[in-house]
Amino acid sequence: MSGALLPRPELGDIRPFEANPREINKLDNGMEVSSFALGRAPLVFLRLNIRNHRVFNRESIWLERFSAQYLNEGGAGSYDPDSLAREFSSIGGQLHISADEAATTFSTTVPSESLSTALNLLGLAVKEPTFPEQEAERIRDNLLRELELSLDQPQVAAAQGFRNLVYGDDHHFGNLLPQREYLQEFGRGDALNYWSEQQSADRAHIYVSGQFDREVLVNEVESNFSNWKVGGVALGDLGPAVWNHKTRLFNRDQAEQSTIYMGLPVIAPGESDWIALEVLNALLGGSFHSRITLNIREDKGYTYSPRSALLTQPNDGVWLQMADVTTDVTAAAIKEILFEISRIRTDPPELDELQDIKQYMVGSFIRQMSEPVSRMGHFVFSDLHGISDDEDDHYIEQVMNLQPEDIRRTAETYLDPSRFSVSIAGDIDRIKDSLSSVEGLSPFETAT
Amino acid sequence: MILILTHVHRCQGRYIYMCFIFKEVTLSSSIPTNFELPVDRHVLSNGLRILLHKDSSSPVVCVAVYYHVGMRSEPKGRTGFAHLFEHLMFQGSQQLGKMELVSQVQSVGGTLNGSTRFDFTNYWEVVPSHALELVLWMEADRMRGPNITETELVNQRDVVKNEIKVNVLNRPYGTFPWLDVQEHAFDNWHNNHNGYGDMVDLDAADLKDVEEFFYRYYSPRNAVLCIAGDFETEEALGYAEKYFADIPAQELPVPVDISESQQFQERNIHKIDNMASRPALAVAYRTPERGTKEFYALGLLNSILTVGDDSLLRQRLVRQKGYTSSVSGSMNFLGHMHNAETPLVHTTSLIHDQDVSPDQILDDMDEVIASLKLDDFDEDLLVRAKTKVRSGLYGLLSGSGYPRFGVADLLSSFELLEGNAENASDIPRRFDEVSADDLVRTASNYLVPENRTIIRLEAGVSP
Repeated sequence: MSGALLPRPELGDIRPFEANPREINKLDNGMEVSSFALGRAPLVFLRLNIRNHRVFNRESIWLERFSAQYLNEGGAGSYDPDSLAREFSSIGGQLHISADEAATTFSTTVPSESLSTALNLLGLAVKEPTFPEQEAERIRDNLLRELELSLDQPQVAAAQGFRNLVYGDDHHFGNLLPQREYLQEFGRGDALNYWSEQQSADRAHIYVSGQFDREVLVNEVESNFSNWKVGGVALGDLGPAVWNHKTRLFNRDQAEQSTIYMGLPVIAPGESDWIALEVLNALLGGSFHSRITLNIREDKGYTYSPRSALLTQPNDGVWLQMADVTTDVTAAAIKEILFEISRIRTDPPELDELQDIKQYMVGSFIRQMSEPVSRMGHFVFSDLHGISDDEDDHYIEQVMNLQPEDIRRTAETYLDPSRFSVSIAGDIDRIKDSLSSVEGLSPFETAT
Repeated sequence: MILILTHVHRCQGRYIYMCFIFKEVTLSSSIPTNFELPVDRHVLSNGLRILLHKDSSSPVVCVAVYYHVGMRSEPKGRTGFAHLFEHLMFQGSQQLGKMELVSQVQSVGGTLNGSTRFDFTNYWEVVPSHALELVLWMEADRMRGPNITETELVNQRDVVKNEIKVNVLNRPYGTFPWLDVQEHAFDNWHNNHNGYGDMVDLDAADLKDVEEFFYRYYSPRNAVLCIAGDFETEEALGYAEKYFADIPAQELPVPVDISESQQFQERNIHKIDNMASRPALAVAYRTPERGTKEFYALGLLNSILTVGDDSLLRQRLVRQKGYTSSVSGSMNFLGHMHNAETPLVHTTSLIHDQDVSPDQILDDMDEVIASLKLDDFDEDLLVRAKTKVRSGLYGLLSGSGYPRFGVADLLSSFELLEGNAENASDIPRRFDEVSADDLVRTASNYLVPENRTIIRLEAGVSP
């Protein structure tokens, strides 16, 4: 069944992408304001980031989450929790507050005409949280549930093992999960102390995108945030990730698949080889048409969603490959992953292959800059890693200038399998013998 | 006082491949508050429907092809075949080798995906707009027919089995709630079978099935092509005509009968999940027919009951009673209320503590629903629900990671399911017309025990 076949057409003329820059303003108290108009839907997207003070303490793992949930469900100013939720809802939004080791984030999205009210409510939530005593136990129970549900997930087990290997046991990033006994002790006083140490206007940056009235934005930001205090504890430094050539197994009896996390510390975003590393990642495992995906999915059928990624933290970066593979081919899949890494470290890619992946990176960048939320995410990332917006002007040029040898050299420099940490959640009895045959894997240790 | 720190960045010149320029724009002080999705509709002589939605705010374009065949259409004995077939459509066609469509899209800086839903299977690409003609050529080649051998079939069967393992078999709550609810809430096989597929059925699928399924369902008359984004109308139509018009027309497939007989009794299902450490509960009510006022009233009830921190079930079950950390509401497990045909179910689900019985939670839920009475109805609930729905609708159009796909999805779904993509612009009016009386009547007619299926999931693992 077919009509006539027509030849493949040539590409049309490239249309330049024109985007307005973000405008960055600063209030007297140090809070920064980034804004740019983008998108056709009459929505305004607000995201307020506050950088966290970071000193590792085993007893306070997840305290930032506890505090964020408390902020989210505790009410603010004269609003009790229910009435604050209704106020947000009445303008078509919801308040989301989340926190990780790097930042506490307040965000909401509302129809454009409600910008003024949204900023007013956001200001209250940040400046005047009430932390009602009666909410503490419920929020603590929420986190205990979250912990239990996390422990059931093979991906969480593998990720925990991997992060623990590369960051160590005495590091924020090496501890995805808290110990139950410490979590059970969290109370209102802990959240209050945490928040008084964290919140400070000079560590805050609000990002605004979508469609909005600029005059309203300027006036309402000034009106709602200029009286926010400066304070908090100074930002601390974190230790870097380290090479730790170990293989850690987490047992899941009768598991149908093994969940594999493997990789090592590389460099931080903004460093000179970072863009080459991004392109290498896309070529190796970070895109649908990448080598590892073509190999273990499209050729061998070992897995559904293999992917590699660059995991970043302030001043730090880690490359990792993840895959959930059928149990019986766990060792075979790891061998293929290592084979692809070895190949790119030895042989530069063909020009055509590299050209395609460079175009993919350029297109991804333009798509990211074409939508309000993803472009906002780009700016948050740049600010977290101290990357100037000027770099955006040169990004495409830098990508397109990369040569095959740059990619090979980057792989050789940064992706040394003899330094890999490997974490696997699966049925140990069924996989351990075959894993012993994988050259380059360190002796196993079993996670408890 | 506000101090401007940085302002304008400009690129230094045209790059060979693509130029990224920052330019200043003047922001309008009048923000539109209407919801309109302008669309040009055309039909080719072979029956292919074409939808054009222009948005030249950035030089990207989404091409989406929707085939009116989904999990509900697959034949008995071949569960999971619609989804497997979707995978096979990436494995090559007459002029494209295995995965060549993927590599071509990536090499022009684009992205793509496909998905299998209850009523349709869709394939889409988002590319720089200068690649529009290439993408249309590729989709036309794919519509002419896949080029599949036993090797690709076996490979993708393994990939799909791994997808089922990672999403269903190797995780707690893997079938909860969607596969469990579909199985028990409906009596018609087309609605209640496992659309992900039984392993035995997947193993039984052969190349003859591939050929027959393609011939029956993947024809121009059974498809919608939507182009959304940056293009010139005449040019885009010309490409569509050039590449698609001579694909042979076929008769439309006989639609499968997805109707359900009326439910008269509450259904109670108990199951044990050997990987779960906490129990879970799902309550699924059959919905009114798509397009009716009651259907939109139920959409608003969903917003009142389960969407947002102010929603009534969250208030009761999470904040007041502390049974759970969150409550989910859904009218379509594989999308939203606008992109599926009825019969559907409205499902509320939660994972809860061991020390509270499901019956206690059900009593609370029933009390909340019973509180929606006309004599003391809080009009503010309805106003807030309409605002939330409007905001959510705008959200569908922004930020999926696939620019312009949100609008393509709405337009294509309305064209396929209601016969007219222009109906998508009518969504706000349909919600606005719902009165408090409609809302309460819908709750009292549909959110009742005899219209529901309850899934009680028992945890097989001790915490």
